[in-house]
Parts: sequence; C-alpha cells; structure tokens
Amino acid sequence: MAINYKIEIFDNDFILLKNDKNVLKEWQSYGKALYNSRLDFIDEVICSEYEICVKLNNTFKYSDIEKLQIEIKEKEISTRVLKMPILFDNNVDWKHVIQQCNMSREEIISLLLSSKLEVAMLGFLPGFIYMSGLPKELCIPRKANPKNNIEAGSFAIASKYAGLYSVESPGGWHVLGKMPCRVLNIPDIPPIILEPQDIVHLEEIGSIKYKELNDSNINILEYNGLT
Amino acid sequence: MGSLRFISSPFSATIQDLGREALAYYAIPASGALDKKSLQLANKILGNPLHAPCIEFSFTPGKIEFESATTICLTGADMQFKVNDKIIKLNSIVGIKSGDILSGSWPKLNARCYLAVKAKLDLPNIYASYSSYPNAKIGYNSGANLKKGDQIHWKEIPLNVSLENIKVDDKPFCESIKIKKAPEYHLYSKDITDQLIANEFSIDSNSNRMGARLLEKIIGDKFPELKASVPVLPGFIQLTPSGTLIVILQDGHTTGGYPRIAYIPENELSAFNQNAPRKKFKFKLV
Repeated sequence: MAINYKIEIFDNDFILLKNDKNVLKEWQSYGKALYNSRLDFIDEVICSEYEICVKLNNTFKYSDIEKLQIEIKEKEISTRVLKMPILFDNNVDWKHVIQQCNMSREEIISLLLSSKLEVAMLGFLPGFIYMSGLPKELCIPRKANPKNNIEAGSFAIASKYAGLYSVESPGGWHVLGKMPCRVLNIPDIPPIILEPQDIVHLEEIGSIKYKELNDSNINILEYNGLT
Repeated sequence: MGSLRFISSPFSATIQDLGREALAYYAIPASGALDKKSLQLANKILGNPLHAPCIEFSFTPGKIEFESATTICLTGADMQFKVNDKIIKLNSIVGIKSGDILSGSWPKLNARCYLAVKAKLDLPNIYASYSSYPNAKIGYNSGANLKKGDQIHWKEIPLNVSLENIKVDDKPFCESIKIKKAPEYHLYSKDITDQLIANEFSIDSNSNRMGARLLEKIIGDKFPELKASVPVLPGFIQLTPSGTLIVILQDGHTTGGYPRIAYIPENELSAFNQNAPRKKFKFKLV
C-alpha cells in the first residue's frame, strides 16, 4: 500500500510530510516504517497525527527524497487490543469536568468504559500517550492555566483526546484517575511499550487493586498477559 | 581513580555530552549541551573524544573541591574562574592538585560554561549518552541538577596534547541570531513577521533546558491557532496566542500545540544559548 503525503523541504535541516487523506492507522504505520528504515540521511523521525517531521543530517541529497516512499504491508498495521486499568479517584478536576460536560460522574465513567480508544500518537514528554476515540460529549477544552505538577500515571482528558502522563510534568488536561501499570521502559528498547494503533479499553479498578498493581511494578503488556 | 566534589551548589548544572540520537520518535528529546561548540572545544583542548561528557554550568558554577590531582579545561561563558585564589584562563589546560578549589561568579556576557576533565568520567550511560534528562530521570543522580555534596569519579587518562593547533573563537556571544522560516511562518501578517526581525528580544529568566521563553512579546490582534499538536525540534520558535515566543531547546517537547513561526538552525543554537537572560539580541532571517 502506498502512502500519500504533501512534502515541504526546509533546506538541509528537515522535511515535513503532511498527511494527505490517509487514515490514521496507515499514517502511523508509515511513520513507524520510516523510523525503522534507519535511512542514512535521517537523524530523527517525529510522527504526529497530521505530520511527520524528518530531521536531516549533512549526508542528505535532494535525490534522497524518493527513498521516503516506503511501502506499507497490510500485516504491519497492528491490531493489538489492550485493557487499561484506571482508578477513578477524587481528583479536583472532576468538578469542572462534571460541570462542563453537564453529566454526572457515573455517566462520564460509564461513557469512558464503553469507549474504544486508540493510541493516536506519542509525543510531548516520554511516555505521554495521546488516545483518540474520546466520545464527543467528553471533548472539552484544556485548562486555561496549566497546572505545574501532574502526577506520573495520571489519566486525563482534553479536547478530542484521552491521555496518560507517564512522568510527572506540568499540564493543562483534566485529570480523572490514575493508571497503575508501567508504560515507560527506560533504559530498554523500545523505551515506551504502548504503540500508535494500539486499541485501548479502559477498565475500572478500586483502590485496593490499584495499590496491588502499583506495588507490583507490572507493565501494561504484562497486565494484559503479553510480554 | 580520581574525583571531585561540589562543596557549594551551582545555580544550575548538569552532566551533558552531544546528546542522544533517534529517540524523538518515542518523545525522548536529544538533550546534550546547550552550546555544543564550547563542549567540543573543551574536549579538543584536553585531547578527549569530542563527544565526552562535561559539566555544563548555567549562570554560576558553585564551588568544587578536587579530591585528586588532574587536568581540566573550561570553555564558554567567562565565570571569572579561580583555582584557590588564582585566576585561570578559559580555553586553556589547567593543572589541578589534590585539594584545589575551583570557584567562579555570575558571567557578565554569556550563560553557559563547560568543565572538561582529562579522564573517563564514571557516569551512567543511557541510550548511548551521558546527558542528564531530569523529566525521565535519566543520567547522574536521576538527571537532577548537581548540588552540594555531589561527587563525580573518574579514571585518569594520561595527557598528551598541545594547544598549538587549536583555534579558539573566544566570542560565543552573538547579538544577531540567524533564523529561517518555519512551517507556519506564512500564516502570519507582514506586521507580525516584521516585528520578529525588527524588534530586540531577550531570554526570560523563567527559562530552562526545555525551552527559552522570550521576554518581549509580539503585538497583534489575533494569532492563528493549530487544530492538532505538531512535531517540534530544538531551535523551533513557537508563537503562543498571547504573543509570547518560546524557543524549544535540547530537553524540549517533541510535539507542541503552538504554531511554529521560525526556527534557529542547529549550528546557530550554541550562539543563541549563550545569551544571558535579559541580554538583548535580534533575529536575522536568512
């Protein structure tokens, strides 16, 4: 399968590929294939929903551009389905989310549990997971003033995404719960064990189960019986 | 084996080398020295591999006690370094005796200084780099800023170099920073892009290794916004809806939600990062 993109070249510094009507799954497969190609003239590949940025090094020649056309094989499009345990806690952000969505806490949780989320991209900070598929009733703008410290493991929503903070960081998303399994895998390769295209179903857990999982240092694949 | 120990905390200092490669795909930034040219110069003067790790100081160095004899070199910002009470020169080979104390003060012009030791430093190597990256707890002491009490050990390597063939450009500070048009440049009116070139800017002291926030804002009625997060690299200049310019640096995010108005090319970043906070400079579009 060939991928369609618009291309913008910024001298010998970087190339921007813009998603030209591909579905997200194909686009992410292409991004991964491009990253794994380890082409000589490429230093970095950053893949977002609509763009791929290819950082060039000084071996780049204009004729290298055709090498970016990499065929995607059907089998490279992943169909992994994962459960993600969440403790919906009493984070202060709930009050605002209930108000903005005009729904009860129970209705919001029930809507989240029945959603089919999909890892849309990695980015922002190590282990930050952008998941698409958030029901439109829950799509509310991010906070006007980001908080300085969001705890590692926080599950949050903002605009059209659900997201997971794997490291403590500042952030403007609304935190609804905590996820006890590890997603970061530093210093091993790959450093992050969730991948774009993974399908994610949320699973509600209580505080005892949360503590048990958190203490066990289990990663999300192990939790799903995959290693 | 040799070692040094911080006997007072520096303002902001970490271990850095030339950084990591090919991990931005996983949102792990390259990290590495803010002024790679000065880091490489320090290593070159001592005959170390050019990519060897150094201590990167921003603004003040604190005080260091050497617990064994060694040879060092300091490059970058002039922090008026002294060994005990004797002033020492930047970009030179400095012999150190056991018990010597290195100190310095706030630099007048520049911001970053590099301390290289003629030795193999005993530090954690993560993804082929010694660079600290605190957000993911990578590096010496989980990437935290170096502080009083921290000790760095090394294995001595014999010194076998001469300074004769090394050219030193001792003016890292630059009042004119080259920029190029970035993907969203064309979304802005001429009034706004003119401000970027005509106005003077300076780095806000509320900046860190992730990003440099500029103090002077761009004035406009309405700024374009993006519908989704897009990739960013070190050197990319974002323009926020409030008119603030943010330059992504070596520990910066790999995707961002603000439009990218311009970018500082990689080989110009050393000069940009040597600007002390509030020191005025201009951008020059090339």
